[in-house]
This record gives sequence, C-alpha cells and structure tokens, in this order.
Amino acid sequence: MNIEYIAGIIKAVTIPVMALNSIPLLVWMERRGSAFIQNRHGPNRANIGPITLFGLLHPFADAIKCVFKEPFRPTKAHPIFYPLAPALVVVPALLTLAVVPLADHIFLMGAEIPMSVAELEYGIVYMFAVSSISVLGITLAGWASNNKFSLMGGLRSTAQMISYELSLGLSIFGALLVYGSLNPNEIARLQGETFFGVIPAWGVLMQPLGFLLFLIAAFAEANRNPFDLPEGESELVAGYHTEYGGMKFSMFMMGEYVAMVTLSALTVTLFFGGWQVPWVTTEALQATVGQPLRVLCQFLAFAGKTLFFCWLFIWVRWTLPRFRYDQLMRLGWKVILPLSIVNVFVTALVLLGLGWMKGTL
Amino acid sequence: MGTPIPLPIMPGDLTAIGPLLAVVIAAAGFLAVDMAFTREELKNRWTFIIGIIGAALAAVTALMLDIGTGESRLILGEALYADLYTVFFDLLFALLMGASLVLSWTAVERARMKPVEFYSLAAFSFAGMFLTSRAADLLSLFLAIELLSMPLYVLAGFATTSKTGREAALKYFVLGSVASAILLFGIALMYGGTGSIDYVELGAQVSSGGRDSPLVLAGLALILAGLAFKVGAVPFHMWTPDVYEGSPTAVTALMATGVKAAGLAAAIRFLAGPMAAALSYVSVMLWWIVALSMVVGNAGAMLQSNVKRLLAYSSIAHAGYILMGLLGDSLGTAAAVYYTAVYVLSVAGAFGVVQYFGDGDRELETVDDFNGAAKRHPWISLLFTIFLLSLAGIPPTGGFVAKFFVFGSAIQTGHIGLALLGVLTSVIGIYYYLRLVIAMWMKDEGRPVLAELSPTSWVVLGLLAASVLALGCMPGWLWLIVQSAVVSLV
Amino acid sequence: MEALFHVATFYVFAAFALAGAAISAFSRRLVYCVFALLLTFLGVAGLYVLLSADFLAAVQVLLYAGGILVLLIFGVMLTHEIADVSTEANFTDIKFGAVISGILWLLLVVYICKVPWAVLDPLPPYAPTTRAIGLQFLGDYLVPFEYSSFVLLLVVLGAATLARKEVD
Repeated sequence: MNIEYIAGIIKAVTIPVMALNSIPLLVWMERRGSAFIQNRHGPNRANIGPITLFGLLHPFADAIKCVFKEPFRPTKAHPIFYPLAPALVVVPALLTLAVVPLADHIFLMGAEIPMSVAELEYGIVYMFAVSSISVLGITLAGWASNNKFSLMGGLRSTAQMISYELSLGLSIFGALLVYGSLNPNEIARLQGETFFGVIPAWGVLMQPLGFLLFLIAAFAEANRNPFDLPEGESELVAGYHTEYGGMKFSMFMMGEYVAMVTLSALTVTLFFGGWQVPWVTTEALQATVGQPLRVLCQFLAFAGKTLFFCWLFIWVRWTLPRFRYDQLMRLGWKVILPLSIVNVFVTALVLLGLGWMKGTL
Repeated sequence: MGTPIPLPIMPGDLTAIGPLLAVVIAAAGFLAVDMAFTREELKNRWTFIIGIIGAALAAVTALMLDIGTGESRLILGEALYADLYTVFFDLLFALLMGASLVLSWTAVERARMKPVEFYSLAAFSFAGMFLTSRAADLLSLFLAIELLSMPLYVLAGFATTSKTGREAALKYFVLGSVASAILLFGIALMYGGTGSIDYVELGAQVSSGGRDSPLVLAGLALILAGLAFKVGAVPFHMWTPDVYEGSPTAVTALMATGVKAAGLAAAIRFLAGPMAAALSYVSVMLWWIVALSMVVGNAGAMLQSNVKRLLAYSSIAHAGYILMGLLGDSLGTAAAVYYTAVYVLSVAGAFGVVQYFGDGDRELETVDDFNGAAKRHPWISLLFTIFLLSLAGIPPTGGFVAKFFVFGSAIQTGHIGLALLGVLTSVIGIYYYLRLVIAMWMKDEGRPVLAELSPTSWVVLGLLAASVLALGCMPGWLWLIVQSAVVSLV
Repeated sequence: MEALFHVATFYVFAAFALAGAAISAFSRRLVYCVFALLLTFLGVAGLYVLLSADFLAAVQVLLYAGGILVLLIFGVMLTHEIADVSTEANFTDIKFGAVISGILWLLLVVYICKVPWAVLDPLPPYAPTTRAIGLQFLGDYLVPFEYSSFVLLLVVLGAATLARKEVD
C-alpha cells in the first residue's frame, strides 16, 4: 500500500483524537484560570487517595459522570432532531481541523507528506465552509428542545453567528491579499521571512487591524464571553442547551472547545506564523537538527501559540462582562463590518501601490 | 505570486461601455444624495439633477462610440458587443431614463415613494437594460435580465398598502423568479449541448450542424420562454394585467417601456444573431407565441375598463407584433427594432400622460374616468390622443409605419396568414384605443383632474409626441439606421 | 476497485441530494423542509467533489449550507407559532403539479437518453482549480463577475428598502 494512504489514515485518526483530548485540558485550564483570575477556589476535590494533581483529575471525573448519566429526552422534544443537534455541532468543529498544518511538509520514503489531514489549496475557504454548518446544529438544538428559552437562544446564536461570520470572513481578506494564497501551509511558510532581518514577518504585523477584527469576530463566532448571549444564563437559563444533559450536553461543550481550538489555530496560522519557529526556516532547522526534531520543534511552536490563544479565550471570559444583545449587533454591523471592508480596501490600495513601485503592474 | 495577469481591458473599451458607467455612477450618486442631505427638497433637487446628468451622459457617450465600418466589435474579454445596435438601444434607454425622471416624478410622490429611493433602485434597472442590448454571452444576458428585474420586484412592493398592490408585487416576484430559473435552465442546456456560452461560438456551432442537437433546441426553447416572460408574450403573459394594475403607475410605466424593450433587445440580439440558423427549428413555437399574443392581447384589452389593465393587455399584443418581425429575414428584424422604438416612445408618452391625471392620492382608473378630459385639458388630451393613435397604428403616426414594416416583411417571407391575423387584431386594437379617445373628446359629463405639469414635462411630452409623429411622417432616416444596425447583428 | 468506489460514492451523494429535495418538496412541516435542504446541499457538494470541482464544493457549502440555509431557517423561525412543532405548509393542486412535473421528467429522461453527450477527457482527480477560477473571473468573465457584484449590491439595497421602518 502507498505510503501516502497510510500517512493519511494515521493523520485522520490522530488529529481529531488530539483535538478531543485537548478538551479536558482546556476545561482544566478554564477552571484553574477562573480560580486564579477571580480569586476563588479552583478544582480541589477530585482525588485518588491523597493525589489531586492540581485538579487534573476533575476532567476525568467529569467525563465519567457525563458518560454514565441517563440519556434523557424531554417528552415533547423532537425524537430525531433533538439527539442529532449536538452531533451537528461537534462534527463540523472537528472537520475544520483537517486543513490546519501542524508543521511543514515531511519527506518520507520519497513522498512529500503534508502535516495536515488534507492539504487543500483553498483550505481557508474549506474551514469557513465547514464551520458554518455548526450554526445549523445550534439552531436545531434550540428548536428541537421545544422550550422557549432554547428557541430564543438558538435564534440569538443564529443571528449572532451569521452577523459575525461576515466580519470573520472579511477581516482575513486583507491578510489573504497580502499572502496571495488560500493554502494554510503556504500562508504559514510565507510568514517565515523577516523584516530587516530581525522582526519575523508575521501576519499580525502586516495586518494589525485585520487581526484585531478577526479576534473579536472569532470570540463572537465561538459563542464565548463577552459574546455568549445565546446561553446568557441571567436571561435565557442556558440558552439552546437548556434541555440537554449528560453526554449530549457534553457534546455541545466539546463543540465549543474544539471551535475554540480551531479558531486559535486559524489565528496562529494566519497572523502568528503558524508552525514557524521564529527566525528559523524549515530548511535551516532541518539541516541542523534533522527531520524528526524539526517537525517536533515546529509542532511545539504551533501548539504553544495555539494554547496561548486558547488561554486568551479563557482569560477574556473571566475578565470581561457580557455584552447586551443590541450592543452586540451594533458592534458587529456598524463597527466591525465597516472596518473590515475599509481594511480590505486599504490593503488592496497599498498592494497596488507597492506593485506599481516594483513595476510588476 | 505569479506574473500579474493583465485585465482584458483594451483602450476604447471604457468609452464603449460609457452609457453603462454613466448609469452606474448616477445610481451611486442617488445613494450619496440620500445620505448627504436631510432636507427633502434638497434631496429631490439633487436627485433630479444627477439623474438628468446621468441620462445625458449616457446618451452622449453612446454617440461617442466609434462604429468604424459597421462591424460588431467585441469588448472587455469578448463579453460585450459594441456596434450600431447597442448605440441605438443606448439612446432609446437614455431617453427613457430622462423621460422617467421628468414624467414619473408626480406619480412617484403620489404613491408615497421618495423620489431618491425610487430612482436609485430604478437606476440599477436601467443599468441592466443598457447591458441587455450588448450582452455577448449567455451569462451576461442572464445577469442583465436579473439586474433589470430585481429593482422592479422591490419597487412594485414596497410602497403599496393595498391588497392588489401586494398581490401584484408577490406575483411579479414569484413568477419572475420562475422565469429566471427557466432562462437559466435553458442556458445550462445550451451550454451542455455546445460547451460554450459565447454568442460567437454558439453561432458557429449552430450553423455547423449543432442545431440538430436536442439539447440546443431544448435550451433555445427554454431561453425563448424565459425571455417571452419578460416581454410578456402569450402564453407567459398571465402576470401582466394584475401586476400592471396593482403596481404604482410609475413602476408600471417602467415595466411597460424599459423592461419590455430590454427583453426585446436581448431577444432580437440573441435570436437574430447567433441563433439565426436555428430559428427555423423553433419557428413553430415562435409562430404560436406571436399569433396567441396578438389574439389574446387584443381580445383581452377589448374587455377591460381599467386603463392600466387595458394598456397591459395591449402591451401583450404589441409584444406579439414585434416578435413577428423575427420570423422574417433581416428586414423583418429591422422592422422589429423599428417597432420597438415606436412602441417605447408611444407607451412612455401614454403612461406619462396617465400619471398626471388624478386627484390628490387617487389616480384615474377606468376609461370612463377620462370622460370630458379634452374639454378641461385640451392640450394634454391632444398629446394623449397622438400616443394612443400611434399604439393603435393609425397614420400619420409611427405606429402605422411600424406595423406596415412588420406585416410587410411577414408577407414577403411567406407568413401571410400571420400577417392577416395581425391586421385583423389591429382592427380590434383600434376599437379599444379609440374608446379612450372618444371618452376624452366626445363625452362631457366627467371632470377629470390634472396634476400640475412642470414646463419640463410639457417639453418632454411634446418631444415624445413630435418624435412619434416624425417616425410616422418621415420614417426613412430611422429605417436606414435600423437596417444597418441589424446588419451588424449577424 | 477505485472506479467502483467512485460510482458508489456518486450514488450515495445523489441519493442524499434527491432524498433532501424530496423531503423538502413533500414534507408538510416547514422546519423539515428547510433542514432537508441541508442534505441536498451537502449531496450536491459531494457531487462537485467527484467532478473534480472541489473548490466549487467548498463554496457551495459555504454559501448555501452556511449562508442561504441559515437565513431560510431564520426566516422560518421568525414565522409565528414556530414553537408549535407542527407548523405546516399547504398543498394545493397537487395532482396538476404531479402531471406537469411528470411530463417534464419524461421529457428530460427521453432527452438524456437521446442526446449524444460530448464526453470530455477525464480531468486529473483533485487537480487545483482555485487559481484557474480566479483567473477566469478577472479574465474572460470580468464583465459577468463585476455585474454579479452589482446585482448583489442591488439586492442588499432592495432588502434594506423593503425591511426599513418608516421613521417619519
């Protein structure tokens, strides 16, 4: 059998598993983080004898609890859509990760193998396409629960996600114009250059406004605080997942956390060099430490950056208060969207000017 | 990043699409005016100024086109044509835009629409019209048709509070979407059969035996159906009376003039150009469309007492007359183009007059409402009569000459039965047009109220009437132009 | 083996698309109709992938499943009494429609069997198409491309006009 097939299968198995395993870690980070930030008790009860491992056992307890809970369905909930909705949230979130490159290509037995499940030249479009499906899951959950709070939550999240999906897409247009590519790996590779030999040419330096807008839209898109209106507990009990319990509820949580990871990974890929170790190109690194270590270094760089942004999500959640709904909509349509369009326009003009100066136009 | 790809814009291309650009800029100008001013009078004044400048610019740039030896020129990556035919229709649409700005103003305000909103949407529609006559591939054709219809979906609906208005808007929107879908399906089949959407390529394929492919024929039939809907020809006419009656009169005027002329411009360009070799295969279909349109349109109009419905049915009949020209040879095509021009001028004038009659919010609705109009308002009644006589096809107006050309070419190419039917139905036409004329001139009991006409309105109405008369008395010069315009189609 | 797999996938996607379309046409519940469209869109996207038009497939999912469908759902959710699970669509004249569409179907079948299809050389599987599409947009199809942007602007404007509340 072909080496590419084998590699493909291995990647298709490991990457979702890695993403799913990051969820307990993130939950733990969330709890410890909130405890640190808000000066409260963190997870401190779950233990095996005297071992508590800084609360690291809590995720395990959580998982066990959720799996063994009774799969309960409210009588008036929809028999098919009610259980289908959580899957519709979590599956697209996982699928999105398929195009995120964890490191530069590797050469194995004469084949060049990308370090993402599938390297698509339009990877960014793919990510947006697939992630847009998860909106349907949330809406479906709200409707199928047959509960007015759920319905309101579902509606809110639909409105919120379609509003911010526009900005999310438009805010990276500038960056895409600069790179001239839709391929995430290509984009990461292009960020290996440096300005004046010292500053890494990361996207955030070329597109500061784009990055800021993207980050804000990403928070809204992930339904995270300060934009977690769909589940605003003071108004809507728990929004679209009011009626969900046990593993179905956990799937919503998984969807949210995986979306967080995905968006962090996308942020890193687009604006923070992806798998680039600063100041060292793939070739130089490989020449010094050999291929396996090079891949490891790049993967660690990527994972570290991604984890930082995951932490940023948590940090913001426990620091900022929640927006009001009209504020959210006004911000989205009247601030972020126009600014994104301006950003695209200005970027295009600058690129045009640079092209003229270089004489390539 | 590879080498930069040059855009397919040649020098002179931008002049060739000048009218398009002028209208697009006018549309942007309307939007800017709506944002820039808060006071209504300022908004209205600037809307008028920008609109007139846009229409004038469109006409001037149309005349600036270098026609060369009269051959069709393909511009902008072979997507659009630039030739005498486009110049002809550009001038027609520019005139229509100016006329709409001047004549529809009262009706727009009467329907409680803001002029700036009406004209900013209408400008998009005009941009679509300017594209129909110059589309050189099916994709551009489809987009043009969409662009010209969509603003009217909105305009037909947004100001109405009445039930008939809402019904009209919904009917127009739903049926229009279906027609677009049919058109698109036809385009898809055509592409599937020939592997191309380019008129030039299609023409080459069709004349070299491609017309025998069932896909091409089915595609052609569906495209014909989609265009027939926009033109309002039987059996795709069902929407016309209700929509014409229910929509605000300013919008109806646009539908009856601009949309119909644009649909015809597209149909003539497509059918007489690349599809000329395949036309004989669908001539049976076209024959029935023409015959039924003439019969249904005229018979229907005879039964109406509502003026807008009457004009709606008569516009169906006129679509039939115009399409009859396509059954003939190139002289027939020229006759169709000539008829289109006359029809547009007459209907623009007729609707222009109708829009001014009425009291406050109410418009005159039935034929009887016009009783005694001539006594109180003789001059405008005279103008109205000229337009109606032209539509009826009575000499010395343009309508007579146009009908003469169309029937003549039909007889020359052997469609004698159709020509006879045309003459017969024209007689019915004379009956119901004259009913309006009689109501105005020979009955005294009514007291129709006329809104105040500005001097510009008098000028525009007078010009329209003069041109209708001129086309009837001295048809030679336009007939020559139209003939050489049609030569460039093939 | 690979060809068989290809054919099998084709039929799976086609079944998806058809089933979705059938449900959305025949179901009496509005919400079913709308969600069944998701199946159709994904099925069609799958067919695009099989035709080596995978960029088109991604765009299809992005625009139809992620954009249009969500808007449709939003519209349906805002119709009153949506909380009632059995919001129904009405059918009128189903026999008439069935006859018409039956005739159309027969015609299409006859045509499909009759037409000498111009079979193209098979494309290389999953060859990159994005760049080619982009170049076509700014090359041969510059005018339709610009015009479609104009149509979209118009649609936004029209929607805003229709939806706007009268202030005065």
